Amino acid sequence: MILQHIQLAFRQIGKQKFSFAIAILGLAISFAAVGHLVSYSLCYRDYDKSVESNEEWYRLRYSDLHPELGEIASASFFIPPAPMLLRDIPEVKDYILYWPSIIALNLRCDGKPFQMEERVFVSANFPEHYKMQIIYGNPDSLLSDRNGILISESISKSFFGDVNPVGKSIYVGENPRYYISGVFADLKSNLHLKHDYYSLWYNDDEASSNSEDDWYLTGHVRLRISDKEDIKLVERKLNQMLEHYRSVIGQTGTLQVHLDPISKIHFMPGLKDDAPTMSIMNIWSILALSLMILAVALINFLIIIGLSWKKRGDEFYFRRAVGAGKSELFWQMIWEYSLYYGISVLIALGLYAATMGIFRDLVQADTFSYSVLRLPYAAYAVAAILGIGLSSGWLMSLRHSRVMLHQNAWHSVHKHRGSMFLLFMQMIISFAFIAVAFSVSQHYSFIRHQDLGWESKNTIQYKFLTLNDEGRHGYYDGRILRQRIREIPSVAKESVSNFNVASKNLDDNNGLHEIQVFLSNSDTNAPIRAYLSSCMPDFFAARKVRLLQGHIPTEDSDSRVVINERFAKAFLGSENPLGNKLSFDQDEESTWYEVSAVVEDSWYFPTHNEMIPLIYLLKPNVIKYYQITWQEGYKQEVISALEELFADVAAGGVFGYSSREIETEQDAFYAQDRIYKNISLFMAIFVVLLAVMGIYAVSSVTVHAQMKDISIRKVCGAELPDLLKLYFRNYLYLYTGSGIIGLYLAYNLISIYADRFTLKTGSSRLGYPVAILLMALVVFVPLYINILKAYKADANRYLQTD
Amino acid sequence: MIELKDLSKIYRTDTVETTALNNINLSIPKGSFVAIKGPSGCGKTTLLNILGLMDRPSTGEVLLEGIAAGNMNEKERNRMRRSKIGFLFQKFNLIASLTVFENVELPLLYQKVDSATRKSKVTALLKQLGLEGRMNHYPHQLSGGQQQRVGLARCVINDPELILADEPTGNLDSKHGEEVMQLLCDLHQDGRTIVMVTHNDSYASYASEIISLSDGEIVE
Repeated sequence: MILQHIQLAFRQIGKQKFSFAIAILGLAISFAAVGHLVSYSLCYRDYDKSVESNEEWYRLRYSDLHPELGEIASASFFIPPAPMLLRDIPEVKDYILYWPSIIALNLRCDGKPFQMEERVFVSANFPEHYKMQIIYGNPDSLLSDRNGILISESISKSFFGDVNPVGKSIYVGENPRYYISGVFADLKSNLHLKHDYYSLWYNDDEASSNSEDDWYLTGHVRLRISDKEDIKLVERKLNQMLEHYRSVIGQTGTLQVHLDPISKIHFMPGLKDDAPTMSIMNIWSILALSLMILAVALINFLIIIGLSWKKRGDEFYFRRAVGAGKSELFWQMIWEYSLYYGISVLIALGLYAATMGIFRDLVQADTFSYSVLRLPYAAYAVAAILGIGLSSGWLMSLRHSRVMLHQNAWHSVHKHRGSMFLLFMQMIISFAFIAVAFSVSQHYSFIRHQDLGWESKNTIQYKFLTLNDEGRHGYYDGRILRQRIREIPSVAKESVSNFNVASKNLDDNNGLHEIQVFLSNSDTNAPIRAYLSSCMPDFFAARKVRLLQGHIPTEDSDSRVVINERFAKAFLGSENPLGNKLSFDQDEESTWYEVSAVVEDSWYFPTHNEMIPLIYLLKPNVIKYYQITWQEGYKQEVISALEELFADVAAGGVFGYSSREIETEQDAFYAQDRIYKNISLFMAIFVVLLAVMGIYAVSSVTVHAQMKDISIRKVCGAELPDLLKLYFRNYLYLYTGSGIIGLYLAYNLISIYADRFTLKTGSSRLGYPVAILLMALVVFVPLYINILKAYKADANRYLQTD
Repeated sequence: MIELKDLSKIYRTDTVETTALNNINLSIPKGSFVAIKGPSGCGKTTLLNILGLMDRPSTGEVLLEGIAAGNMNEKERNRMRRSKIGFLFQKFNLIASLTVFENVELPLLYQKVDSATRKSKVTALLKQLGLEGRMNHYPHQLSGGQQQRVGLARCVINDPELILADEPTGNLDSKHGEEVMQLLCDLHQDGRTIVMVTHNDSYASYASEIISLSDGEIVE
């Protein structure tokens, strides 16, 4: 009997190839897509969870609460005093230190430049904490002295090939200074402090707490606290400690420590020196979107299977006539449903496996490790698939076997309320998807291609430490370097600054120093908080940062500064900002700087961040960043010449250099948003296709079931517009109702998305008219085609006598 | 009024060719009542559909009031059918989801008659047919005879000159069958041309002319 049902189900597929292909393939594609998106979400949800005893580790950070300035939250803590926590607070069982060095050195190994762009100093237990797999080197002495450098497998391979590099010397100038102490297997991508080079953090002095130096250097500090109950106690003790050393620390507000579980740190926004790796909203919305896409495909599947049963109303009617009861019809239906669903799941598995690599490359995340084909996720996937299949199959078979039992064959094909309801739901989701995807896409496009307030096109930035004066030993003279850059053919222009023009974190490492500022005309004498950096006076003209008021002072004007528009508006209000004086200290001897110009706001950082109030000093003694723009079409020539130049100027000193293309850096700012946009667009296209197919299938069956009515109307003189009016009216109600709900849903989703950016754009509103227009086509074109077919059909067939 | 010249209708599939009507020549004067008789499958309904401009002949010509139907496009045929022809079916062919009033109103709706006129015409006609109390009922709430009277009302609401009745009594008992025939006779008396397909000799006798069909041909 079961075999007979399955045979019959296969025959149905053969008879209605197109409909079943839509239903089965649609569901299979959505299962595969949902599988990928779940892997992606798991990968980010699991950030930092692979470290040893992750639930016992907390990031230690502090914030500075000031009555006038509010709370300044940092992701860092003071590094040198951290070891003493182990001694003074017994609840702290262990600690990890991490401090990235921003100064690149001019290193050589095996006679070649050894570029170590960013080197981080960590405590000796770091390899164990990150469960590093050691390929070469003695695991017990990887970070046993200050000169050992632990490198990643990929760096080892790219520099030394398959040779074991352990023990090789690394030279600074002519002197062997460091050596390679070990090689570790590349770390998983979802680790917060993942790097390619690690050195031992060392402190020449015994860890102390009362030296000012000790409380100056900040970095990433983690503590292991085995008992969750102790968290509050540890926080209290740490707060007391900060209060005790307050004068040494030198902060003016109330300092407060925070212990964040490390599994949550990469989602945390609002910290000045650590941008979140991913927005938790993105994770949830991607999961929500994937559930919606599954819902749409499942609805399509249910509609088409349901309609195929309704089409066979006669068959079920005759089965009843020869003795079949509700139970027999139910089991026939559930076996048929299981077959269709099973085929879909099998195709989904194949699709998922075949597209895993493509998806991993697309989202640039280690989705393989979180594949739903691997345990334990596979078990959940099987449970979910079985759960969805059994519940939907059971409900469908129950409903349809009852319908077939209680209604005659004619009515069973004539009523489609269930299908229409499912279609309505599908249309709501389609409206929402189109509007969201289009808006997100528009928003991304706007943010990515906006005028940032400075010219970034065709530009590369070199990071290299120089003096803006006659060079001392180890430093190259910045003026000479600029001259040599200008002499390179096809260089369109160059500029220099002490801040990174493409910085993700607004912090000291990127040359944006958050400071207290005192205004001379302030009534309260209370400080304000702003950012300070420096550049050469010609920076603004070279980078087309528009001058709004005043004039840019020369390099010799020691006591003049330039402020940005945000600073002027926030702190100087309606008064003329020019001539105002500001100071960075409250001492009587402190220097007062006069505001001599206001320039427009420029985004040197992602637009997720609010625009900062910025003060530009115009006499940088030390220069860190060189921005060089090439003439269109001369990129390779200019970059080759620059590489040669910087290698040459670095060769004589201790400092190394690195470079980044601005375009690439700015792209990296929005990598997650881009992935989100691509996923939304892909899913919207898929949903639209499913909606077209669903509406075509439903309208085809609806119209077909009413061929007799249509024929009668034709006999009564109805023409095509009359029929269109009749059927369009019903779908117009569906369209309008689903549009209102769908667009309202979209409005909320778009608002949540746009809230992540401080730079607002009106372009996201375009999603609504696009959704309205596209859905009109999606709904009414398939309907028109079906009505046209019905109108052209031979009416006599449906009106003939018996 | 109606003239059929050398009219044939052949249905073709990939393998089979069926001749439904073969070389029919017929003239139906205005105001006549013609009954078409014949066994099942002899082509009666096909002939009626061609007369009603619902189908096209394979060969030959149909002249309605001297106008060749073959030269009309679908729109013109539609217009002609809407204004001059009324259909009455064996199975009534009422739209199940519409009320009696709405079913009868349909032809006027497609003729873009205004709402007030539609209402008064339909109400008057239904009253005339004794259906005034059933105006808001759905077809399945009526007896067969009542349904056929609704069908007749819908057939004549646009005042057609030609009424094509395809076994109008086939689904009715003799009492209701007689009733319907009487109504058709009344319409004939009013000057309308009636072409009726029937199996029943006694109902055929109401007609002023009887045409017998066999295997798609007129037999004497």
